[in-house]
Amino acid sequence: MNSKTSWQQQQCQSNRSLALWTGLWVLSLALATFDPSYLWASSALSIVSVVINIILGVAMIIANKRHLGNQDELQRKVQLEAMSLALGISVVLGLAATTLQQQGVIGFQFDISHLMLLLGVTYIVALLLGMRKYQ
Amino acid sequence: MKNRLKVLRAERNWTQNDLAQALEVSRQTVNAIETGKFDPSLPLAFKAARLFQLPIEDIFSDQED
Repeated sequence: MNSKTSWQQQQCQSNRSLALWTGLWVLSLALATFDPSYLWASSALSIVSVVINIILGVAMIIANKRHLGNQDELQRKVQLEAMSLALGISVVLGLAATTLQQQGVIGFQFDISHLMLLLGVTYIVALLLGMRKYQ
Repeated sequence: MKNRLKVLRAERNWTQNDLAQALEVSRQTVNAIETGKFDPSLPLAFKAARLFQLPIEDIFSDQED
């Protein structure tokens, strides 16, 4: 019983696929964000870079869906708890911060990147806590 | 829910990884079930019953029992 089963092989394959598409999407996002100011000054190329970014984003979403489908029931439970916590905290804190900003209570300018950072950090922390909980 | 997975596994000299492979779950999931931190779904419980060739109630029982 030492060789990898087809289920384990599928898991490795879906992990690799998700890592690949996520890496490509991040690269394309970096390209679309930075290149207009450094490499080209054409709005057509900017549109192409954003379209490529969206296409790679869709591929990443599909890979993530397959990845979740290949996980076992405990792994899915941990993922679900982490995602619900990350979404909840980001929505609640994001809207609270925006409200405070609109009312002039805080001077700091919030934008989408701060929300993405909060979402990502919360998800990673919640995932690690969930994995530790069931260890 | 209590279970006898650890005992049944030990009787067969299987590691947690062996059982995980047979049930098509991760080793962490087997460990979480054995330690009572996670209750398996009915399909997974039936899969374990088929694997050990035992009735499901001989492996899993209600905590009140």
